[in-house]
Amino acid sequence: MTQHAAHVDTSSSWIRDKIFQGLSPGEYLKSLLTGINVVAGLVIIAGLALIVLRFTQGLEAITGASHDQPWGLLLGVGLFCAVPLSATGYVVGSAVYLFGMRQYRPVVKNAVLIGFLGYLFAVVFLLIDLGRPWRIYYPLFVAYGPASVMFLVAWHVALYLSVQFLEFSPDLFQWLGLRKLRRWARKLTVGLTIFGVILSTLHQSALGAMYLLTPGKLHPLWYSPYLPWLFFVSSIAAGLAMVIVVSALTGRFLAIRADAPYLASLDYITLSLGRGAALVLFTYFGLKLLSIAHGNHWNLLATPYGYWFLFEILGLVLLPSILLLIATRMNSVPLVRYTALLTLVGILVNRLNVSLFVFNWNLPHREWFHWGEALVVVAVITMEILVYRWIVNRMPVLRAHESPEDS
Amino acid sequence: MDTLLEFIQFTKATEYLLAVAFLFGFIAFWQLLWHRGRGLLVRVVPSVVLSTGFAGLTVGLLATNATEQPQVPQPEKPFLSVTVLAKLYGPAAFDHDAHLRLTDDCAFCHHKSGEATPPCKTCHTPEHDPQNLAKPALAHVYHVRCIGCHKENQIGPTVCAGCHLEAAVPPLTLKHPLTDIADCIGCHGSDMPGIPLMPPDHADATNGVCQLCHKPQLDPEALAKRAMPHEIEGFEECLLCHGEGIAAAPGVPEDHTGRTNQMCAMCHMVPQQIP
Amino acid sequence: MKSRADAKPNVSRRSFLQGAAAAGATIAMGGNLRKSNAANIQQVSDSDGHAGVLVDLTRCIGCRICEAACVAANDLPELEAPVEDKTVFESRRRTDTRTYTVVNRYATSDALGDPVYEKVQCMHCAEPACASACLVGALHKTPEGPVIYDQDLCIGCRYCLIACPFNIPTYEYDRALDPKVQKCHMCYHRISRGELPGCVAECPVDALTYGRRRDLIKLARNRIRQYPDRYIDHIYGEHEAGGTSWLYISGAPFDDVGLPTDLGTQPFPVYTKEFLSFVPLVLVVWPALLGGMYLMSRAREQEDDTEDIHVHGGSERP
Repeated sequence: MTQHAAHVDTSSSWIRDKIFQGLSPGEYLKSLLTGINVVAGLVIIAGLALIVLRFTQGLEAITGASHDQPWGLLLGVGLFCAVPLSATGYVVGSAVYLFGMRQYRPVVKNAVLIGFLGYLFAVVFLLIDLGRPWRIYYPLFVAYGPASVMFLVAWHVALYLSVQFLEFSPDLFQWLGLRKLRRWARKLTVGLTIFGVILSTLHQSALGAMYLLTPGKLHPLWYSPYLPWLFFVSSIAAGLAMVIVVSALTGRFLAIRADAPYLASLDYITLSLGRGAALVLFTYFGLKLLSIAHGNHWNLLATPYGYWFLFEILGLVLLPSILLLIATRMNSVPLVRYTALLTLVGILVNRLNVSLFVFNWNLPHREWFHWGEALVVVAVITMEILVYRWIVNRMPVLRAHESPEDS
Repeated sequence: MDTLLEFIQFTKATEYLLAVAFLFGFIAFWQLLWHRGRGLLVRVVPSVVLSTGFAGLTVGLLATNATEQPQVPQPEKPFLSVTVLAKLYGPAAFDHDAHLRLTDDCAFCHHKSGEATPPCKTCHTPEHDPQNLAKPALAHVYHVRCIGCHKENQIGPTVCAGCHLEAAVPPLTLKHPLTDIADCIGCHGSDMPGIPLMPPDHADATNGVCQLCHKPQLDPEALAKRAMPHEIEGFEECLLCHGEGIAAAPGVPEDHTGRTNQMCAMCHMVPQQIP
Repeated sequence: MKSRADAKPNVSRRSFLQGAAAAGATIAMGGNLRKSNAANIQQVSDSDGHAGVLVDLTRCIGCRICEAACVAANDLPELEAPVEDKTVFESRRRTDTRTYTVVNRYATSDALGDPVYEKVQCMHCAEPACASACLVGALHKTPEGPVIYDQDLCIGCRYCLIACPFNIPTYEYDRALDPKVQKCHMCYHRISRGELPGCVAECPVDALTYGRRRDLIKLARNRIRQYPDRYIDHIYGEHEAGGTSWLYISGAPFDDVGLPTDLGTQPFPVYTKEFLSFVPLVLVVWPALLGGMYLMSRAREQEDDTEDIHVHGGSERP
């Protein structure tokens, strides 16, 4: 946010201002050479190398995918974990724009951005994992299989990505100085939010519904006709927890991009969201119990898989719910934040359980972990974080108004 | 629970009870989240009590319906059917004139044709007709009609090579891993005590055919056990000691039941003689 | 929905499954008699005319000639282990991208120690889970019966591998630019010409019989009736998973020979059908629900705002 002298060449000053944040190219590149950036860069380069390997030698070069275990970490993390963690957009968006909860307004733009990037990079993961990613548009325009839940997921991810982009566009246009476009985009907000909630309800639950087709292959404790509801409700908890955690992190590491109202509101917002998350998690726990009752699987709780299931629902669902309750009563923001992190771990564990660990549970020899796949996942997530940081460094995500000279 | 309906009734009952328990728990949870100040216990305790009560009812219902594991009835023993491996046996020789002398009932073979005597292949195709599965394929028809009649009347060849004179069955190259004997049918085709008998539907098989499916496994343990610490000479009555366990002689294992003294030496020998 | 981990199969369970089969068939056929092409819901009775194969496990001798025949009929690379190599039976095999069918050996409680052999291949279900899973319709059930794959549509998502209850489809993970799903297609190219599928044509012991599904069921019933000591009184695939085109009869319990008996009789596409019905409901109801909430919250805000102006003379909003 430095004052810049008038330049004859306006285009280069725009680039200098918007992209290089007022520094000269040389200075900017130097500023990039931090320890974290170097490590991140190396990880990304390694990931890109592996992606090239995937496209020259096939998926087996970087994954442990087999005929019995077709989906690995790429989809397990990149799709099944990324999507509930990107529920921030519709949860906070609907709270602010539909239910009139204005107190969350400071974090809504951040929430929308997290959601947008989450879905965007889910598509990136898909492009790596699909056998023929250049055909990714086929279910949209070429051939239709409407009996398939995945067909629904494909359409919804495409539509929702557009919705999230449009929801975020006011900030983009503000950064680019395109006032009229910004005003137009803002008018769409309520409609987009409604549409976004519709789409999210459906595809969050659709990811669970995909596994309805696998009654014998998914362990009975996790398989339930309530799978869509379980995935939907837990996505709300994930969205709330994600906003808590990311807003805490940005409040710490990107505070210079935030304005005072944002930073001041964080504690209150964290506590309120934590309260909401406690209720949602409690509800999710109740749904899990109903799922067991529905299939009459109580006796399975005494098996090794049963113990793992109990750990998931008691340690990673009920426990965070109770901790958040305690944190609310004690008004302890740090406890809310750490519990939110625990909640996210619980969501990840649940999604990985369903897509990876307890799928085809009665078959031997399933490889879950391949170092190549893990590295690619880490590299793409690193890319996502870097993109997030790049955007937050420039666009008014953590602050209400743009920098003084643009107002 | 024998019917689907009973199962649904039971699980729905547990679900409803659990749901009510959850609702009361939710109320308590809500109170804990929102209510500040005094009077918290008064609000929370009744909900908790009711929630626990319904949860207890659920557990009780589950306990009264612990599922038993009924016995699985064992099925009848199946037996395998080994039909002719046509490729290996080649074409069969058939003397029609010889059969004319045996019967004047042409319709016995040329059935479903009135007075006419068409060749079998007129109706029976080499591969069975998917439109009419009751009409077997040609090769199957020959076997059923020919061998069936031969067996019933105790005349005529019933062994594969009896008709397939140019059978391309390879000679037996396999040797029994324990006895080194190269004649399967000699022991497994006759009623030798303690030796597994060929199943009845293998009755037409010849030695060369056995090796196409059977590959006797060499069991290292069995191999080790056949070494004898003493020569046979002078000890021909193996069962005298080994059958009674006299002088700490190792007993005859169960799967050797029925074998005679002469059979022992087929497998058992002093280590120096083991090939 | 009972599952594999529940009680072992027993007589009463079988009769309950048969009862459920009748119920399922009634539900499938009774209510909606319309055929919806988009949702690909046909009635189970339509599959009677489909081509199928009856596999008689009491006849199979494990000679593996069917594997070699399949390779020859489909121009696949030669079998890794030649037909004479019986050591392959020591482990349980599954289908592969180059092996559309395998034969597995199972020990039974026979006094002679005779094993039972079972041929594994696509079951060509009447209502295939894989076809309902495919989001571009690359897998579909032909009118003749076989379930075939169109490599020009497939995007490689592998949901069909996830969905198949028999774990049959395989994927070419070793190909970077043109990976395909590989599975038995009942020699569709041959049966279209009036020839038998490769495996059926070559089986030397008549363990495989090709024909119309309804004829095969009659044939199977006849065999079971004629030799009651030889067969278990059940045609596997008649109702399992909504009915399959490949039917099995056996002397050993089906569970012991690699054929899962806990699949139920409901066609697999029905499992996701209820959820998909949720979609148009949400699309129609949510706008009103959410829009209504929005309007109510706005009305309340305006009310609060005006109240604020009157009471406080300004807005102090959090």
